[in-house]
Amino acid sequence: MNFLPLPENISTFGVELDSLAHLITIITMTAFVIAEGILFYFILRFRKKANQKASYIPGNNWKQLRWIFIPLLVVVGFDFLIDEKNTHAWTMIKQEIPEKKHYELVEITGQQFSWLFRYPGKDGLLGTVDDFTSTNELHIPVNETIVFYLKAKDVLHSFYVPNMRFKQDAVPGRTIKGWFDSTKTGTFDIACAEICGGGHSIMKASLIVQNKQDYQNWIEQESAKIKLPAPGDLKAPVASPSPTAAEHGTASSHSTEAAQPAAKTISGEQLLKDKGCLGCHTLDGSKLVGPTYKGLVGRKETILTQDKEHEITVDEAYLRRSIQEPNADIVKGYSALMPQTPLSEEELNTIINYLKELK
Amino acid sequence: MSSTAIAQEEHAQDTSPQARRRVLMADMPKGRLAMWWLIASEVVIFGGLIATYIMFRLRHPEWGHAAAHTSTPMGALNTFFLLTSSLTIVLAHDAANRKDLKGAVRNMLITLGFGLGFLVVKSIEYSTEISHGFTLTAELFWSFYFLMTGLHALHVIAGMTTIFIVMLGVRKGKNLQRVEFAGLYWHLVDLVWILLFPLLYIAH
Amino acid sequence: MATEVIQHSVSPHEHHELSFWRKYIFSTDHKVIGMQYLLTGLLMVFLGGFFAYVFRMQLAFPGQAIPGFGKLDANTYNMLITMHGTIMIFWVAMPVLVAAFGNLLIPTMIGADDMAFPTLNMISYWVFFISTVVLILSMVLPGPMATGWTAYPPLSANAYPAKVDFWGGIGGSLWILAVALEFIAFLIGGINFLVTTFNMRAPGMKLMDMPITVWMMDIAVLVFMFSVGPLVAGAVMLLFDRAFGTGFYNPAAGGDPILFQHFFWFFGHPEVYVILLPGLGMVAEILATMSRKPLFGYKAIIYASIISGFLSFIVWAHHQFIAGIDPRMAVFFSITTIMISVPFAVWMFAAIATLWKGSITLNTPMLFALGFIGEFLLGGVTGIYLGASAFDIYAHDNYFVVAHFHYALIPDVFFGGLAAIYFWYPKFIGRMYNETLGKIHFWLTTIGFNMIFLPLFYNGFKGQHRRIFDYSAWPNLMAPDLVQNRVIATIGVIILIAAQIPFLINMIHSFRKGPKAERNPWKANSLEWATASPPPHGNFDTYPNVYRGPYEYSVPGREEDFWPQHIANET
Repeated sequence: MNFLPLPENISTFGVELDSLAHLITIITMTAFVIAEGILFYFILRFRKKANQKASYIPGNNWKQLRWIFIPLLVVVGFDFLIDEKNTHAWTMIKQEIPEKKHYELVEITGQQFSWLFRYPGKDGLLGTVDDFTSTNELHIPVNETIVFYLKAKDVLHSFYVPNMRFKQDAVPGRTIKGWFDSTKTGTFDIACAEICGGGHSIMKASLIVQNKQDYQNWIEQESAKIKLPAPGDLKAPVASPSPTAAEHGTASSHSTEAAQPAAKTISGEQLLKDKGCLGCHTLDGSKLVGPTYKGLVGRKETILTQDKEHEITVDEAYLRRSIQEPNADIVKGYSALMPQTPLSEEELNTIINYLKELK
Repeated sequence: MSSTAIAQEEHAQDTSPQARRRVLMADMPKGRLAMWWLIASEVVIFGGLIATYIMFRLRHPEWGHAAAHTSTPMGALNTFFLLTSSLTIVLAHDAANRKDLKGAVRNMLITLGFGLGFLVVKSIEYSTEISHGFTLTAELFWSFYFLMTGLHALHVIAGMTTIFIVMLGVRKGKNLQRVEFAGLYWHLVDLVWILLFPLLYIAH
Repeated sequence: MATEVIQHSVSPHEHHELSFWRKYIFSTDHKVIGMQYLLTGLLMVFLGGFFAYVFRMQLAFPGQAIPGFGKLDANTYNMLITMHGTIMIFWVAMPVLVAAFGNLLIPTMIGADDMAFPTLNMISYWVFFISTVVLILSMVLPGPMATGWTAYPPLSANAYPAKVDFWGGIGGSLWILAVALEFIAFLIGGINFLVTTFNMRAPGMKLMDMPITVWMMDIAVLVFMFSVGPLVAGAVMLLFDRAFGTGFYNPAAGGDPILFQHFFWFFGHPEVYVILLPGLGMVAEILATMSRKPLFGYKAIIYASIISGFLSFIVWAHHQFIAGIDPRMAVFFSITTIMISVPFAVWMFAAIATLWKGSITLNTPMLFALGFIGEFLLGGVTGIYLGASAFDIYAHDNYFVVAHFHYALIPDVFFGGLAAIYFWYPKFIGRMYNETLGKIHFWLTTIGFNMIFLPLFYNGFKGQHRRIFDYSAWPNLMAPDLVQNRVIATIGVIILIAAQIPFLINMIHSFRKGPKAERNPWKANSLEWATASPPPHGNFDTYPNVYRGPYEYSVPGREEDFWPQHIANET
């Protein structure tokens, strides 16, 4: 049964969620139609007519009150039915992860205003130096169970994938575990469903469900971009919650920042990805939420500083100011949506050097 | 003589149906009833705040270090002030019932004196703590400490103001039944402190 | 106290003449205070409605300049939706349904001359007035609240995108202050309602002889008083986080963002019943009067309402199913939430049963009252979808929720509030409104309202998430059917706003030139209909005694089809 205007469902548990929705629809809509029908019928039938007096029916004895209590029992009965089906669906989706021999792990971080997806890399462990991050693209293999660890960097966000019938709020200070698996390949929307500031509307990511081979190829491709530190250069990784340690909704009282490779081994482009800059700025010249990085340094721009227009040539000082005080100068034609992104001096230098080379 | 009786006596000259009805219906005079409703709302406000603090404290045993810096002797002195002042306001109420105006006023002044003492000790505490760097934003424990005791202190001031205004009337023999209502509010202020004292001063 | 009583025992014409200021502005008369709340609420509904017009125009025609406003940017959009929700709940629903009608009706329905504490009553209005001014200031000063009316931290505590200092974020801090002041005003007002009901009923009026409206007002006020406390604490904590940099909700400092959500919804859920119960009560009065029948199951409704008051305290986390709470908690809250439909089903069945074998007059108040039932039914049943936590995974923060709660709130506040305004207009204004204009108002309002929200259920099912300024970045949400629905909804807003024009004309014109109203134009039973229209200061020339309940309509064997409460039994 599938008459509700729901978008395509690609998730395994989505089937049960949809069936619950349909059950509720049948029960509530039947009740609604009957109640409205009776209402309209009474209004029309008992309109004031000459020489017709109303009856005195106060509803103060059980004989009269049965007209309330019998329908009420029916309501309670259907309520129980809905509760039962709901408890089953909810427990399956939010309390239990299906027993599988292998899970694909991803760490998801929501931040103003992009989604970062961190993969465990070749060693299969999250929180090690070979992890790589994808901005706004969550690639997963079809027919596999994905277990993810959801975090938020700054404010509340919410990870919403309508076609997966999945949503979970991302809370700063917590790591929340979730799972889903997809039965179909394709590209689907990921939205942020908790207002997070001016850029809430543009905080969009894509779920890219691929067949096993394409997914493997993508993993290889992204892993190759990570410059692993030379032996002897290694910084001890800070412990990140391992798959067995991370529980639902428990507040992490310790920092859960995983190891970052030493700054000199991480590329400017990777930093731009990791920090979410590429969520709003492109490398290829196309216009997105913010101005493109291609050919940025040396470009003449018209900017507004405190609503006064003037022309400048983009230089290093301007870049620093734009990162440290994002909304002090706004390029004409763009909105004041850029969030504060804390960067170390090393990270800042790496990015600026990279941008200088990006013609 | 009970508050109801005082009210009835005061209204005896007024024979309008409205007045008669007010006295007949008021087996709990409206002032007392209103004060209980006010107290109920305040209990929920402070209750929410205190319950939240307890939850946080249980989750953060390391706050014991910060809590060691509250001055237990000063807190104990303040507890003594408030408990004694609750006694004196009851004595004032009793005096009012007996129409002993001078006694009522005297006891109310003593109550106000203890209230003032409380506020003085509190100010000394605050300035000491702040000068040692324990400010509102120093640590979450101190945020709770200043918020809870600060809100409480505001209620002490409100209670003192109420007692003062009622006292002005009592001096002229008017509205003696209000001593009870002011006293009820004062007891609430005292009760909240009795909860705050062990939570913020004793628990380590 | 002795002075107060003597003042009121003096009959109206012996009272010395009050100045204009004491009579109409700083009045202690509950009727004037009620009108002050009503007028403030009606002014604010147009402000909140204007904001809805602006943001719906942006949603239907993204990026285009909006007539009467100009171009909208994302940050201002977030502020407008925040203010829309805040205004409609705290500055329209509460003052109109609870404060205005509670003030007008409680003393008159119980046969009293005024509230128990008239001066305190006046103070509570002026605290409310100050809160209104503070709210408006909060919109125009820097850093207004732009988080949705729910004001969740960390966003609300930090004035993102850039962390601002105290003055840079003063707008949002004032928003918190405005809401807190408003809570204080209603706490004080609520104490008045309760003491008046307990102490000042006419001789012979037992609690079970009170009109249902008085019951509902008191239960509402009790629920308010017991639920708002923790939020007052939580709001102060939020204000401190925002203005002074404390860390109550900041995980880096050891705080917890979800704590605020619990504070907010522990109050927020009972709050919607605080708003709902008075509307239910007043609509019940109208149903009984216009059907010439007793309110069916009066006692059952009262018990159901008391039960719903208690239940309202154990459903709150259904707003937080996927917020990061322990999923096992969600199972409990799902069960309680689905159960809370039961007492409201009792009300629905009783209301419909009241119509059975009645003699129904379909005038404007009755049309709005029936509209309430018909529309609220949809709000109620769509709540079941959301109470089921598994479906809520999909529908939370989605247009389905938006459509659901508007189908609960608007029938209550608009249809219920308007029904009450029309019904009691002749009593408190002393003139009759125009019935034709009233009917036009009803039909246009019904059409406009349904045009807005019915399509939004569809968009919600399709996965359209909420609090979004522009869907242009979302190709799947720019499908023609979704775009079309957004346009239809916006046209509905314009119709709904335009529909209020006949209402305004009616109210103003009838006030000056309407035919003088008699004491009891509806031939109703409750005590307010026994006084003059409008009632004088002190309400009654002779204070009534009560001999029966308020719903003795069409009693067999009697010539008249109504039997007012204050008429003595024939011996």
